[in-house]
Amino acid sequence: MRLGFWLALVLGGCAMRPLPAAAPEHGNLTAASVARDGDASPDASAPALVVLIERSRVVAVDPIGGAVRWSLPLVVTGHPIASAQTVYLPVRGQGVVAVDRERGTIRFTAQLPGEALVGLAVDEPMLIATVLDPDARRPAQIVGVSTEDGEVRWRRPAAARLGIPEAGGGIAVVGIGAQVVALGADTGREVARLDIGAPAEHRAELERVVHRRGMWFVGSGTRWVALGVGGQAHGLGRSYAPAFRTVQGMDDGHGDDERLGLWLRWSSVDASPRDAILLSRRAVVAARLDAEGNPMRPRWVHVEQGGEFVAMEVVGDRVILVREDGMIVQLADDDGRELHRLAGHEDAFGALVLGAEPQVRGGAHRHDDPRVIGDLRRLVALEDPRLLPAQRLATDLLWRSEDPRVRALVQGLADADVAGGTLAGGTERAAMLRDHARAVVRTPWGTGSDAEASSLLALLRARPRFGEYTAALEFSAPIRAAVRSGSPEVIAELGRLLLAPSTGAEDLVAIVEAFAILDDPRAVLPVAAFVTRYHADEQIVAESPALHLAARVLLQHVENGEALAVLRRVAEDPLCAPSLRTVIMGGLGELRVAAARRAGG
Amino acid sequence: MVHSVVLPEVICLSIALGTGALRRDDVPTVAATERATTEVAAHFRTWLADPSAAGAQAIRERVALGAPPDALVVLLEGMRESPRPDLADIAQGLAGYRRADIRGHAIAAWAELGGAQAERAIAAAATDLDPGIRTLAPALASRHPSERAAQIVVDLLARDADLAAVLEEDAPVIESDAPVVDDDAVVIVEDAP
Repeated sequence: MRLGFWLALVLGGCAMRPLPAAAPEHGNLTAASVARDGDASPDASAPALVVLIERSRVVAVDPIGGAVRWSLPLVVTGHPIASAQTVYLPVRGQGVVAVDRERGTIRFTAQLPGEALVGLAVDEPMLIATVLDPDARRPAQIVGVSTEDGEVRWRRPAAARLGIPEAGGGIAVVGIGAQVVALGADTGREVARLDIGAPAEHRAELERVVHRRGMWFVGSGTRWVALGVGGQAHGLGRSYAPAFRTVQGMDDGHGDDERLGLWLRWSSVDASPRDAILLSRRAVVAARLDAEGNPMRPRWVHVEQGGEFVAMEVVGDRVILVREDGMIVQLADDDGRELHRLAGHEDAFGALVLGAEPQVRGGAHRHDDPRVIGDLRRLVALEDPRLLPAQRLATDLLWRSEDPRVRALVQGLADADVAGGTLAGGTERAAMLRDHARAVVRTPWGTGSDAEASSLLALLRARPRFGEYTAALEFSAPIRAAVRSGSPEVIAELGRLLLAPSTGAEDLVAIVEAFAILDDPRAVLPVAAFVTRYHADEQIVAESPALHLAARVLLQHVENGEALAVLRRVAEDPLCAPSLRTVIMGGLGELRVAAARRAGG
Repeated sequence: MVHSVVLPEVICLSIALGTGALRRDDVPTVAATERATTEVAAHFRTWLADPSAAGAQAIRERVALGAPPDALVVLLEGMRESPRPDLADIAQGLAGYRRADIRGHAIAAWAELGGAQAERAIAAAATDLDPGIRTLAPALASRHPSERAAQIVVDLLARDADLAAVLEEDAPVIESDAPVVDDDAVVIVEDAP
């Protein structure tokens, strides 16, 4: 063993000292990393490179010019990583091959201890690896390997399974049990330890540490905790695909599951992602997220015709996708337009895409871009079960539209009779999508956040009472806002407002018109109560067009037995206001004629 | 003392639901088939005269089906003259009717139930946007005196200078047995068969 190792052992004083699974919190992870050498990204200035992982070789391709930079006959068994100069490729026998990124020459092959690799991280001059060692007294180890010569400089056996590490700013950070530990990358000495501030049921799942935009996260799947900023657990409001990929104990290389993944663009100010790009085999959907991590509006959609994607990465202002046949497809991050396509030669299992950091924010386009809405509609209609995660996201995005006509598609999906074949084929996919749509229509619509929906509800709940409100309450603006964006509770609240005696005649009309636009079956009950209560009161019928419009809303929902029953009962009441009866009888007659036409072909 | 507030529109909906008036699978015991308002009023009188649960249910169902306002006035006047605690929900629900005259009759009938119900009726009158309904509050408070009712009136008069002036100048205008705002609405069906 080399002198450097012993020096590190002596100076560090901690090499080989077991890493406890639980210990008191100490240190400051953020300060520890910043204090060393800041947060410079090693990839910031390096040229883009796609390292294709094939069955028995590794090929590095320049995605811009298309030239093959280098090729090596290696069987890669885990997920490679890279620094600005070197690509580190896990190979059989616990080896890690360091390859010069530019020339493709092998710089060294490091030999890791243990039986299986969990994860790699690099912060030159140290390569950090976590490994499983089930035969040893301690089940796992974290190892520091010099990137100068591939020699192990330090290693720490661990009392519990270790997660996938991350390194940067001179420290290596790894999850262990319900804590994360920061070790000095050069010595392995523990410099900080934090409890993961996540609910107990999620702690064990948070196994991958990542470092983005100066912030440290530990996460798994769709949940994560930002380290050092209060430790609150975050999560995506909806789960489509994992954003924090895990390895189920050990890294067994690129697999089929990587054809489904979620890329997140992290904020530079807090722990919330701003954009998401979902890869769902041959579909890619880019969306803006709201503060709660819910999809807020679509950015663009790409559906590949010829094959599935096995890797996706955002590099600078491009989204680079690698197809299973080795083809490299590049899209503009801003609008999803195809920029470049390079034919592949061999099948690829996966790829490591290297290049500049993603841009800070994706392009901001109008939320109702008809091209994107059209793409989403087409995606939802595709009869391909592999696209279901993307179709779920598309459904959510359509529901977040501020245009009720766009949202009507989702309501249509929710109402679809799958068995009867209203949805393409009546397949299991169609049934699953219908069930998803049914869940979605119970959630807020439009682009408003939960906080905005709450504030809208508060505005609609206010009632003018003598002596409590000196100024007249303004309901027209919140009623209009509810059409664009709201939650199911808004329907109920509009219903209460419709039946409130203090609601002005103009507001009654606005509410009923809003119900007509929203076309929500939950409006039937309050509208039916309104029509029933006042249908025999000529004064109220004459007060405004609200009752006539309300009858038309019920006609809109006449397939709903309740609406039809109320309309019939009201129209058959001899004391019903004649003008209202005319509206109802006329509407029912038109519906009968339309039904007869349909029946007659 | 904490007083729960149930909005009239909620009562309106709950009456509709509770009677099954808005459900298609129910079999209502009454139907809106009368050809004249006087017939509806007569039905209300008949059902009011029946102290059983069936009478109350018939009233509840007929109100939920939507009745002409003049018939509702007859019903509410009957409830005011012979208070029916089992029909408190009807009075409360109609206290949320759009027309002020119906609200006035409903609040008066509601108050006749006495006790806490009277206090709630007086509070509803005192916060109504219609000045005519607010004039009911002092009258009902003098008919159903309580500490809370008195406080409601004190608070009302502090806010409603016009009403305070009217009471100051012409106290007899407000009488406890003159609970309706629009007396004309009451007399229409007096001679109904």
